[in-house]
Amino acid sequence: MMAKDLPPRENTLFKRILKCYENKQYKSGLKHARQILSNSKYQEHGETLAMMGLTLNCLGRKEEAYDNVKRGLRNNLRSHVCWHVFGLLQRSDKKYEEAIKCYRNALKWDKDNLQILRDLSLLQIQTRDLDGYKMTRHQLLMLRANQRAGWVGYAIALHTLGEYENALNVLQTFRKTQEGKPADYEFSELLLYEASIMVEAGKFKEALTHIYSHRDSILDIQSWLEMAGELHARLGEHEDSAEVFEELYQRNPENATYIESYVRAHGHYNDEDSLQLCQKLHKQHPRAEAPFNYALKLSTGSTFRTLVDGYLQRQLRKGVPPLFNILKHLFQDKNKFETIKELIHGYYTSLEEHKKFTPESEDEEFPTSYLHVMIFLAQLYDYERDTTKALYYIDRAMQHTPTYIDPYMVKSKIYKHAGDMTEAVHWVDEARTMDLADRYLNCKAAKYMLRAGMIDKAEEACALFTREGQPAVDNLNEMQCMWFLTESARIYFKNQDWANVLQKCHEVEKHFVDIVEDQFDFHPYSMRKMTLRAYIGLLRLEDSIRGHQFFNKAADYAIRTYLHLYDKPMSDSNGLGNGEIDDMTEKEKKKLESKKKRAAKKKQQQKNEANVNSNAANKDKKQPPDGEVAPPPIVGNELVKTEAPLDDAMKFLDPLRALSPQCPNTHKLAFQVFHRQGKLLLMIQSVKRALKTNARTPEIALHMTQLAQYVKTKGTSSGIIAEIVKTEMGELLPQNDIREWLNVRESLTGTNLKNFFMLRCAHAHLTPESTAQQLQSVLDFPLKGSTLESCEYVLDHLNSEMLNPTPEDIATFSSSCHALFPLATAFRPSKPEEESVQR
Amino acid sequence: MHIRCATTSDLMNMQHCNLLCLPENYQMKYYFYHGLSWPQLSYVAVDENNKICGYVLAKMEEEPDDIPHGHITSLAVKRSNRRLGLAKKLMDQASRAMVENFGAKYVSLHVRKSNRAALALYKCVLKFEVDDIEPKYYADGEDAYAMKKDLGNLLEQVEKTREQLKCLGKRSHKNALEQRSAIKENGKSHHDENEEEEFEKKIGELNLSNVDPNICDNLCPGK
Repeated sequence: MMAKDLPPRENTLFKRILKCYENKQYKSGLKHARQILSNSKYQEHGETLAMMGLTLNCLGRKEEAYDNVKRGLRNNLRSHVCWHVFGLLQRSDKKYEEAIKCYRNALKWDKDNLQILRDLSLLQIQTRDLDGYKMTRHQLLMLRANQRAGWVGYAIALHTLGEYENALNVLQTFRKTQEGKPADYEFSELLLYEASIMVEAGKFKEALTHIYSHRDSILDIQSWLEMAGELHARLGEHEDSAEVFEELYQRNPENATYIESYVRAHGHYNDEDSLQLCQKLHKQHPRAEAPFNYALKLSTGSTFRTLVDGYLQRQLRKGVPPLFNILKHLFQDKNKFETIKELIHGYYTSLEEHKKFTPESEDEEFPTSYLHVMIFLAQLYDYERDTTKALYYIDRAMQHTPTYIDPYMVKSKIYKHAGDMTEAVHWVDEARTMDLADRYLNCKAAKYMLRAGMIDKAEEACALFTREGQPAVDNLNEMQCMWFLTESARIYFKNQDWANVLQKCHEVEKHFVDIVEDQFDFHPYSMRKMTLRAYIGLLRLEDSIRGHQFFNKAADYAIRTYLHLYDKPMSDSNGLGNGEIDDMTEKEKKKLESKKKRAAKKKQQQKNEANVNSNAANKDKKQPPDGEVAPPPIVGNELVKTEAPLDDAMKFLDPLRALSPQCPNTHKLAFQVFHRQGKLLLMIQSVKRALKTNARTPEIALHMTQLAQYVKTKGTSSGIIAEIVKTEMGELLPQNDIREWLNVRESLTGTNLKNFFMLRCAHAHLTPESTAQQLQSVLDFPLKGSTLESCEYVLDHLNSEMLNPTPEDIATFSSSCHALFPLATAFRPSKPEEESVQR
Repeated sequence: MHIRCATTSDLMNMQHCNLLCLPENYQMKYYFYHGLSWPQLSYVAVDENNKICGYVLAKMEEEPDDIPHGHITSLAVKRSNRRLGLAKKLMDQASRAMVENFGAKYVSLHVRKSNRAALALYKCVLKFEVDDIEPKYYADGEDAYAMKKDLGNLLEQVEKTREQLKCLGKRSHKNALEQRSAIKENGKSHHDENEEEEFEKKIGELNLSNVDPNICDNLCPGK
């Protein structure tokens, strides 16, 4: 940068401002700027004002910064410096679109300015303006063809646009200039990047030739082998493929993919032959788990029995805690499950009598074998949800060795599966206190505590592993710990504490915003490091980051909360309309009281948090380089006051629809939002997608009915939309008879409790007079065979859906569930809630 | 159980695993930093559902005057997956990758003085040796043992693998191999000439005509 309109003395000062900015000496920079501005001839000098503003921004004086930069720009609209600075300022506030406009203006006045072009290209890739990025990278290459970054940057731009051929041309042109140089990591990465583009473009033959002819220059042997094995396979060169995968297997015998690819390369589709190959591999590495587990997957009948018998004895003798989880995936095969159960029972009986796994065994076992057999038995019965037997064996194991932690964890899990979180917390907490230094036990315990509603206790436990002098929750948040947030949101949702649900969900969302932001520095960095395959991986990951299960969970609670806020807008700060209080039973009123107390306490806590946060913000102000000021803290109590809950819900719903279309829940939520918004086409789309992802999703019955009713009563009568609706509905409901559709659905899914329940709700929606009758059939439904989860689901929804049950009806349903799940707290008759929460 | 090199899409789940298991935690950006600087060095162990049971997060220490060596930033195996030898298997993979890709001579790590279980693992199972004590290394003021393990023995093994690599793919890639040796003997092959022609054409296609390709010879600042 260069100020053309200043005399020598001022010009020197101006250069110093730039220098100071680069070296982060902001105070001195300001001094020099003031010196120039103090000269009456230059007190409105545009570029100086702009630089002064930029410097102030780095000192956290945002408002003054904007004032100065804007004033500077007004005084010199033809200066690339002023525009560039304005762009940098907007960038520091993450206003990327605005910043791009500024950079473009700057380039109007200095079209080949490298720094501005580079800054522009960064924002373009960050905002995924891929066409713009390509143009800028092309220009940079033209200007600096002697820089590696120019070539690589342009190739990446082409690659991200899917212009494989061109990207490869650029890379090959560049590479030609590099050949003959000694192989180094960066060149090796470049070669592999090139190969990865070829693979992506489907040019398998070319890719294979490429990696073979550069074999000596590629340092990353593993990537080389993986690529070669895969390409040979794709080209049908199976012998070579097998050879490569065998080599890979020798390097890492625990990699299941290598084993599967090796077997596949032999073209054996029959399990017998595959099994033999697998066993051959296992012999080469007898201590490896992966080939053996693969053999267990492939084998059946007596072969399976023999294999698993030996395996179980070995592992039980050794005492491998994850044994049950390792084998669990085999249980989908009922025969395998029965075989294992039979074997374990055999060991149990034999160990009791002879201290041997089988009466015929030669050696006596140590008592630990017996212990692990009992634990395994408990896990097997728990898997079948036979709580009584599971508890019997786990109690025996605990009596056998009271100091061994694992049975406590198993016992806790059994109670969790039986629906008694309070008891589950008790046992996991026992385990935790037996080894307080183990964070894994600590987290498990804290998670269960949250599930049981013991929020304070969970935070207390977590605090053992967070930084001292800071609330545990804050430290977890600082470390972007998401499970604690989603679990908190879950319990707040259950408690109908809407403000806190939104607080937690928005904190999760904020972490995702930050993680997307994180990639910014890696655009130039990866190009320097040449780790381009990983960089492309990062770009793609960031594009779909909100498909992560943590986001899905947070989005689910947030959207459901917003739906609730739409249906029952807040009229007081506690989240319940006044009208509702009159309808409440004594118990509910008590609950509300305690909730108010909790809310007040939380409010105080949030105030404290806000203070802490503003302190943090102050600290940030001292932190150059780009003068970022911490955003205002997220406050649930404000979020919950929203006037447009459905609009707010879109922040969570849009990413779900774009990135998690495979989850039935996405379309379920989408329908509920669109139905309330009266967006007919999107309602249709949601039902269609829900049917496609999983036609058995219970809510579809209700949503389809609501859709049909909506079309009938509020549908558009003319125009193009009416045409589309007609066609689409014709496909969804060919007979245009929703009753008939529901009947067919009932014949297909009606034996399942949740589906049956939703079908009844649908009928009640269709024929309100039949509501009582629908309710009765829910109460008469034979529950035997239903899962705990579905019983809880129906109990939860009985109130909120349209079946109008009386408290007695609910008690009736609850007691039927209680008979089936005697330990589950959700169905315990009239036990005061407070008591169960406090154990 | 399945052990493989970590990809960028594993990094978030590694962070989750770290937060469940260890008191030393890092923000996502630090994981990205590892994944984009040394993509070959970190490994994960996952179960049938691709859920992470253990991981090793590793890097290179890259001070120019220092002997190149790897460093274990973080190693964790969930308590529920103990006794499968995962820690050792993960470390073995990471160590070899350090030698293959970056020519590491040894690998180092830090461990809390009070963490006797970890110390025993590193000493007895993984064959690390205590090299030094770093006072007040941890945020809470605790000292750390700085531990080291020599990777010299791996170097030989890596050389051997590189030799073996040359025998692979003989059936279908005979041509490629022959071409390669032809290049070595004659210094130039048909392949090269063709490439040269292609090269001119490509330059034209790409509208790079005003770029002098020879200019690239003195490329790469800082090399």
